[in-house]
Amino acid sequence: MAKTILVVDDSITMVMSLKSTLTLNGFQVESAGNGREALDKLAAGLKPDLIVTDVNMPVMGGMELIRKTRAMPGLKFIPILTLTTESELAKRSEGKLAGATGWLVKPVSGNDLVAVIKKVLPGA
Amino acid sequence: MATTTIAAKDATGFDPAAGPATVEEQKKEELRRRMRRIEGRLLAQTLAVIFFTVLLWFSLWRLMGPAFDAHRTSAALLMVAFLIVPTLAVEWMNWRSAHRAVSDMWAFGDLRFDELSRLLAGGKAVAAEIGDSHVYIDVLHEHIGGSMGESEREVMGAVLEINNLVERSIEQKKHLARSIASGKQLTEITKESVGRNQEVVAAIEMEQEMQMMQLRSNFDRIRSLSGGVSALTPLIRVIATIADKTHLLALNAEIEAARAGDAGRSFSVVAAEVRKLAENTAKAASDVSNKISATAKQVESELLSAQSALQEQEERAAINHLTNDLDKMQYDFSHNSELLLEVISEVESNYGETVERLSSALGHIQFQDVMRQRMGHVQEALGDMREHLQELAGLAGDAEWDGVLTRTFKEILESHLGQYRMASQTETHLAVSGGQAQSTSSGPAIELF
Repeated sequence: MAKTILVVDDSITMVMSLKSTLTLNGFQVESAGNGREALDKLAAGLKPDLIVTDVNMPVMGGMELIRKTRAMPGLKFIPILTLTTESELAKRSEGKLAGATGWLVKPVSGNDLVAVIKKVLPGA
Repeated sequence: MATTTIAAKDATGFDPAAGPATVEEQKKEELRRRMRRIEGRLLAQTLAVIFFTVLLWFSLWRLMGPAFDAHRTSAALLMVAFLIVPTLAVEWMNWRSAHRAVSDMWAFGDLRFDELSRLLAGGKAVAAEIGDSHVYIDVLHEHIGGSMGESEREVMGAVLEINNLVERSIEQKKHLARSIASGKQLTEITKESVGRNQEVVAAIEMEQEMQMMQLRSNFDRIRSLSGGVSALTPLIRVIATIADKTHLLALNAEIEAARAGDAGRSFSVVAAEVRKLAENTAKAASDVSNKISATAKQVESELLSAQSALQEQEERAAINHLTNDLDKMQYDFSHNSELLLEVISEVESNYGETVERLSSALGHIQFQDVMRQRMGHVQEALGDMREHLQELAGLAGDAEWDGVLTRTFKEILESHLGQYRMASQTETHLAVSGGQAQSTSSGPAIELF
């Protein structure tokens, strides 16, 4: 059974490229254009095995998405990776406090991304 | 001393290099100095008039005494000569000095007016130019926006192409998986079939070999029998010859017995019996010969049948070769199926490499998002610059403006430092503006908490 990954990014090129990378590596991919959209999908019953999210997005950013996801029933321990251009230490600390599992700075090679996902998602 | 120094610096006696505020101070000081000089001269004039008046009257009194009254006219003339004329001279000097001062002040005023006019004209031109800069900035802003849009479209096209490739690859992988599964199944079935066929062929071969051996043995026996029967024919001829000779001998004996008369009568009976025996023997030999001949023919026929059966069996052995060939073909097919399976498996392992390369290519596409964000920041910065220049344009033409700005370019630039998302942006900023880089401001590209 393929693992499901929710990709959240406001850049359509990012969503498409991540979708291709992950599908190619045997994952099932769902996507959202911002944090609000992602929360709506989760509230509608989507149960991903892992979330990959950007930080700076319109409507709702990645930090708020992480905090609200952690508060949802059944998603408290879901691995959440941030994939962002933000590289400042202060932002990383904020992400860590919000509940992110890992911090990835764009651009990340597809193979590295898959390796990290396999590391935080046992059995993937 | 100060005046000399100033005069040496400029035609108007002031040092423009010292800056506008200092020049103005210098000019004010010069005017104050000139006023003090005028005041001094006026004081000297007053004192001189008092002195000369007292001196005159004292001189007249001493010289003339009681006769002073008689020389009042002379005294008046002397007073004019010694009091009025010097006074007028001093006044003229004072007037000249004051006139120069006023002229200088007028010149200074004219100079300030010209300066102000030029500054105002320049200020208006600069304000107009700055005011027009928004179009320039807007064009740059749009160029950047257009480039970003174009870049996004093109990258999107590339992503879609790769996506198609990915979908095809996934389909191919599924196809390969099916091929491998059916190939393995086919190989297994072929192997089993080959195994079974080999057993059957071995059994057939053994059976045929046994039949061949039996047929050969039968054939050899019949041939031997045929040889035995054929070997009887000369014996029959010998018996027939003996019978013929016996018959001739009996005939001669009968002739001799007849010639002997009664003496040979008994002998004649014996000879007749011998001749009958010879005739019977000849007849029996003939019968045996006929029967042997018939038997030989039958044996010959059996031999031909056996030979035919042997030949047929040998032909069957040829068919067996064909079976072997088919078996070999089946084996080759099985072997080739395995080779094909190996090839498919190799293609599958190459698929893994394709996945890696495609994943890597897709990772590189993230540069577009990085560029989009950097360019987005440049657009925001251009917006700040546009706003600031418009403020400057408005202030430059405002006579009430005190020269104080709400924000300077330096402050705006410094405010960008807090807005950067990427370490590379901060590094570029600091490298150009000459600031100090903070090496601990960014972490590794991948960090798991």
